Amino acid sequence: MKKKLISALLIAALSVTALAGCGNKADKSNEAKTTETEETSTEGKVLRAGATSGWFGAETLDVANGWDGWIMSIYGISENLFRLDESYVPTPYIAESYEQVDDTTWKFEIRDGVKFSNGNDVTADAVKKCFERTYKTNERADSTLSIASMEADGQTLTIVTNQPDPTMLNDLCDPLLGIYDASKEPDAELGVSCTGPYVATSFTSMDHVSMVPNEYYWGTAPKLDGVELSIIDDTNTLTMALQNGDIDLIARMDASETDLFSDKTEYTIDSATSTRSAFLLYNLEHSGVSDKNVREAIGYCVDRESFANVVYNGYSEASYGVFSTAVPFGGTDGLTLTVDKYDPEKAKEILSDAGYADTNGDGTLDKDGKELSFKLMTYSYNDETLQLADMMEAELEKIGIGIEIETMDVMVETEQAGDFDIVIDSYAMAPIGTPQYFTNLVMVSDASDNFGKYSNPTVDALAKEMSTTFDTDKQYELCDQICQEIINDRPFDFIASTQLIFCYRNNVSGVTVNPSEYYLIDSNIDINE
Amino acid sequence: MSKSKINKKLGFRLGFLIALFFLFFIGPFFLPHEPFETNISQAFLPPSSQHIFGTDNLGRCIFCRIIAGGKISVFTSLAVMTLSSVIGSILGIIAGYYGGIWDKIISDIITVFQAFPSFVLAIAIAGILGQSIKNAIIALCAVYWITYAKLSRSLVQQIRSDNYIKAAWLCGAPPTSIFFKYILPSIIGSLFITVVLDIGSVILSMAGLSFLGLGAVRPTAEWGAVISESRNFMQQAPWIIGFNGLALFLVVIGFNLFGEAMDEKINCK
Repeated sequence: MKKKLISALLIAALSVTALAGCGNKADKSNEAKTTETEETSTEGKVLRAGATSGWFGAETLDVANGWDGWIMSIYGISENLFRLDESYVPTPYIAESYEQVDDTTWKFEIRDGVKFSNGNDVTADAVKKCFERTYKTNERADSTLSIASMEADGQTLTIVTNQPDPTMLNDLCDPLLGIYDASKEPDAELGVSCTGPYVATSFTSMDHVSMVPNEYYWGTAPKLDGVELSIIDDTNTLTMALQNGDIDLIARMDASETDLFSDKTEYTIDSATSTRSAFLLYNLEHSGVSDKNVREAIGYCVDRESFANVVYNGYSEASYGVFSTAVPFGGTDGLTLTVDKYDPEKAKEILSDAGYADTNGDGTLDKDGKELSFKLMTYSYNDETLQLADMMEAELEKIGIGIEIETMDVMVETEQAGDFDIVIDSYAMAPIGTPQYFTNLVMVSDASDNFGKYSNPTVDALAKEMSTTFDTDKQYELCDQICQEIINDRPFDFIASTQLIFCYRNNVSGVTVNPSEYYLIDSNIDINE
Repeated sequence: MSKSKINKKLGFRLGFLIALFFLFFIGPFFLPHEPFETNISQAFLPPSSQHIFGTDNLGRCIFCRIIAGGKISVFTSLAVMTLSSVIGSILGIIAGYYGGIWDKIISDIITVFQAFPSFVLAIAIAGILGQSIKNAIIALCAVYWITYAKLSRSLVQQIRSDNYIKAAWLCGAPPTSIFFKYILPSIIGSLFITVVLDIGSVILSMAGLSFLGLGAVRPTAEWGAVISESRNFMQQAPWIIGFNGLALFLVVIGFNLFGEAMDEKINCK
């Protein structure tokens, strides 16, 4: 009896302590909030936004470093000579006008009065120096825009390309070609000086960035007094941060979370069909997945419709072709599909015809002594691709293919090292609105992101021709031929084209969802009292 | 408390554990649904007569997954306890019985391991070895053997100078005979109680490592891993975390209560 009483007292004491702990936490968070509010009130209107590292995760604030230029464009720190509108049409931005002199020569007039955030003028020579540094620093630059030479004269920049470049203006929208002051060494923390509406005042890699308006901004004056962007890779924490009022906006929200913000009196959900696709990338140098029959069988085991409708909560479209239907060269019209439905029985048949059988009775198919067992990698923070991995594991096990799922925060180094069999990746496939982007980035033999080592001379030749063809119809015809080759060879398997989702409190205004995924913070975003 | 009451309590708690063992080791053969089979059209179904604990984000039956996961949680914890108690006890007995340089070396190793917070050390080891159940078992063994080494060393040190041990030694009994005939029977009870009381803690540690992504790999239904995977659906489908958490709670409390009853039983003697 005495023992029971002591136990009851202990439980009560524990409960009180736990509750007190929660209370303290709440008090602390309130305290923090109060301090923040006080800071906010002294600083004015501050937008607090959160996203996973896939959207906000810059390593540095140097446009030329890796993919940081893209993130800096999202931050509203860097800008380009041209900017894509919501229909992927490039419009003059830092460049005021342009003239195409011949197939390879272009003249750009740099807008007068544009300054870097350090007060220096943006001249043609500054842009030239900036591009020169970027090309020296980043190996992706050459495949983005192949420049033979540049000449600067006052505000006129002349660019000569190595070959005719029909997508020149779109290429100049790529954030890798963002404009920054290359005459100064980048600051260790705050990186390079750019021309965007906001400048960083504090930056911690893969954690947060604090920004204030750029006093030299050339466009409409930014409406906010400050912007705080945080990387929160735990999507549950991210969701609760918006619910609790710790942040005002979530960029690229997971589709599965949208149901929690259905109250239209409090939240707005904006979405746009982007060209981003979740796709399987096969390592063609590894046995098993190097067999086209195996890849085709795997393709038949992916229930794309369910993935798009349930996992993506309808914010996605099942894909059997290559490019998203959001772009004129996308969809499956005119293509002969090798996989056009979810059909595990068909997959079994293909593998059986190809000579795979479970000869040793371990439940996994094998051929010539090699088991059909693969390492499947995906991002640890991407709920949708994680669920796809689980779906695939369960489906493939049924047909005798073993899958070991491995998750990672950053996959690029593993992909570059070729230490994978299958990767579930997610790329914006045509962020500049052209088929050349993804083709040259991933599909051609010497592409920088051709991690699976796919090599098809026909694709290489078609890609080369497409890259120099000015006639848009002809470009799309060549794109169709490339897509057909990809569908036949199946080095990649495109599962679903997804939507870009922003969710924010109703007191936030001026947010535009641009399907290119290049932009978020701009001078129009405001917070209403 | 009277002996009969203690026996009754012990019997009841042992019965509960045996029922759990049956559920986790025999139950998987009689499950109404395949625990790893996805059926996405059935995703996020709340508890119902068809799925008594509801379904998860991929339409998998949570009840079936809990049963399947129970086997992993209990089996891995038993593996950790067996390995760490055997290794730790052998080292502790060597240190306690032989003393001298052996005692110094083993005691120093124990001191070094004790310098780290145990779960942090387990996280570090599992992190270095990589994500897998096997590596999580190794990491936890590296943490838990210390308890048994310390305990067996001190127990052996206490009895080593007892007259019956000295007499056996003077009569020329070999060390293995002294160990198996006299030392082991004297310390086994205390070691066993400690093992039983530690199982709950090991189950929680294993779940903790899996929760942090250092234990079971997807799509294993280990409870810690499932709780981690379903955190993002905590608001849409609270039953996923709720029932897995409840299973973890029941098993841990089952082992703790059994250990407590065993302790009472032995002390009552």
